[in-house]
Amino acid sequence: MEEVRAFRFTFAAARQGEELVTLPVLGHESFPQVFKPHVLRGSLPRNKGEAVLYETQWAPEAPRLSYAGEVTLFAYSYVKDRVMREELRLVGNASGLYQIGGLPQVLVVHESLLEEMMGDVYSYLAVDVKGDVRGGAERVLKWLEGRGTRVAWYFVNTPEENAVARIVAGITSLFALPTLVLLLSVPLISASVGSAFVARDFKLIGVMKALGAGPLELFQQYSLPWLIRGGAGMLLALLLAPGFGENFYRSSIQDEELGRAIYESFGFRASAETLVSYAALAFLLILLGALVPFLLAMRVKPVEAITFTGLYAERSAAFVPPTFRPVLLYFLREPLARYWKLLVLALLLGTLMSLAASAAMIGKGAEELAARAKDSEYMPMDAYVILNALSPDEKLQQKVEEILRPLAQYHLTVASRFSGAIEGVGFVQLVASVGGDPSLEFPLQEGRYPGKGEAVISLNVAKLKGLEVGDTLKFRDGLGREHSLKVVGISKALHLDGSYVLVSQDQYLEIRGASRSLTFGALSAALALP
Amino acid sequence: MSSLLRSSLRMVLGRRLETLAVILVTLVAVVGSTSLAMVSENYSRVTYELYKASGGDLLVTGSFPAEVVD
Repeated sequence: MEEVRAFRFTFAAARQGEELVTLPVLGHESFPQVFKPHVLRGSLPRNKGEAVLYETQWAPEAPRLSYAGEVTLFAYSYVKDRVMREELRLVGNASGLYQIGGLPQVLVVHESLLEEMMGDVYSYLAVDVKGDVRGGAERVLKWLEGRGTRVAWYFVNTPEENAVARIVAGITSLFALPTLVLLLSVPLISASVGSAFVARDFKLIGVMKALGAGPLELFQQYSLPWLIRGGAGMLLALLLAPGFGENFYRSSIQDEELGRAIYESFGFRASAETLVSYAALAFLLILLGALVPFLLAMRVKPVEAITFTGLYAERSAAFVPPTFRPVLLYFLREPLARYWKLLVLALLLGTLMSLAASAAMIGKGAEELAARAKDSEYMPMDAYVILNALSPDEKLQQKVEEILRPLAQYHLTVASRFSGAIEGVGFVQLVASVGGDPSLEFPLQEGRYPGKGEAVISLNVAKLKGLEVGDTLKFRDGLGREHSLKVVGISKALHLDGSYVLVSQDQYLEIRGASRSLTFGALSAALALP
Repeated sequence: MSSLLRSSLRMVLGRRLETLAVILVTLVAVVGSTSLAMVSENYSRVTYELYKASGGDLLVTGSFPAEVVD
């Protein structure tokens, strides 16, 4: 069966001087089990008056508290049914890579303080599934719902489909270009110096061939030595690569203490498969490089080689002045005669020029995007408020609408972040419009707002997937189930990272798999102030 | 066959500069590219392991009474 680790955390407001931030609050016993690995400076809270401030290294831009001094915490207590105010002294700070709710900091308090807020209710379940992860996850979610619990958000973690891991892999794929350039340099020396030896031994090769030398002798003379040299270099590389890779990996994690903690927790795996495949590719390139002088030697014709007396030049075209003829001929003949050199040069120059062109295009695109973000045509709202709550429902939504209605124009949404929901898009926000005017937050480029079985997609998703109004969007939920949604509109709003799908409340519930009333982790309000 | 190999080896040892250059270039290219690939693989693996250590195979947030979970 599944193994469940249950923890408590809640969202609260914390004030330090003039700064007021929203952040998750976690108990000191849960912290080491949830935030693995981490580095702690100072000590964990020993009583209700102490706290530790944790900050993630993958920190998104957001207001944050400073490490020293006092913090005033405002948190809703489900036990006392009122907002609690606690003065806390920071006795330590911690750092790691994990985060909750996309926020850069977490306040770690004494477990007893969290119990005062939440009583016997857990808010964070880490479930280890035996066997099929997706099937097990679906079973657990159904089981939880069947017992009247409220699921705000879930994330199924598989090695192949962990979206963060895929994004990391995407970023590190930038290594591919220097790797390719490095590997392409392998056959260059054998091919160029080997060819020079053939040119030098031109007459000698002619004599060898006239005396009966065949391909084997030429291979032994002009290819095998390069193969042996390359092979020796490759064997040495195979011995050194795992150690070098490990050191490079450790030094690439900027925070030294955290780097050590990550290394001690998860280690470094030198994949034999990678080692062998790169060695095989390198050997193939060495072989290709070594074959160049052999093939040149094979083309030498004995009679021509032996009777050859020196460099020769053919008559050049009559319209070229006689003084320039040899020079022009040389410059034309040189690159054409050594076409493989020309090819390598063109490849390298082309790569460099395409890099420069890509950088210029990215810069121009970023400038256009920044200008659009300030344009009310794309972002009509004046303010965007997120209400984090442990188990908010329609009652909270109605209460918020009552407060907002006389104050401003608004649009209320609930959203879930899905990883890998649309093929080729890392994270997608599934957004449900639950109240107010959607055009305030999602102005349409074309089409209309969605009903059941329909969706409005962001301009970004539309461009990336080549979708237009009337097409069908395949959307995969967190359990891998596929939903088909008819695209009825395209929104030009830029927020939510530009990757979102807007659906009706009913559609949202169906994709989330919730059979009961609307539950969500956060209620978002876009406001247009009068 | 062995005489061919011996002759080639003599050439390899006789031309030390070329031998050293090819060995060095191959060494740097293979060590560099393999190390980069290994680092990239480890980043992806550690990211998955990090989520696994913190949230298991399935991470669920919400409201769960102790009598249901225990």
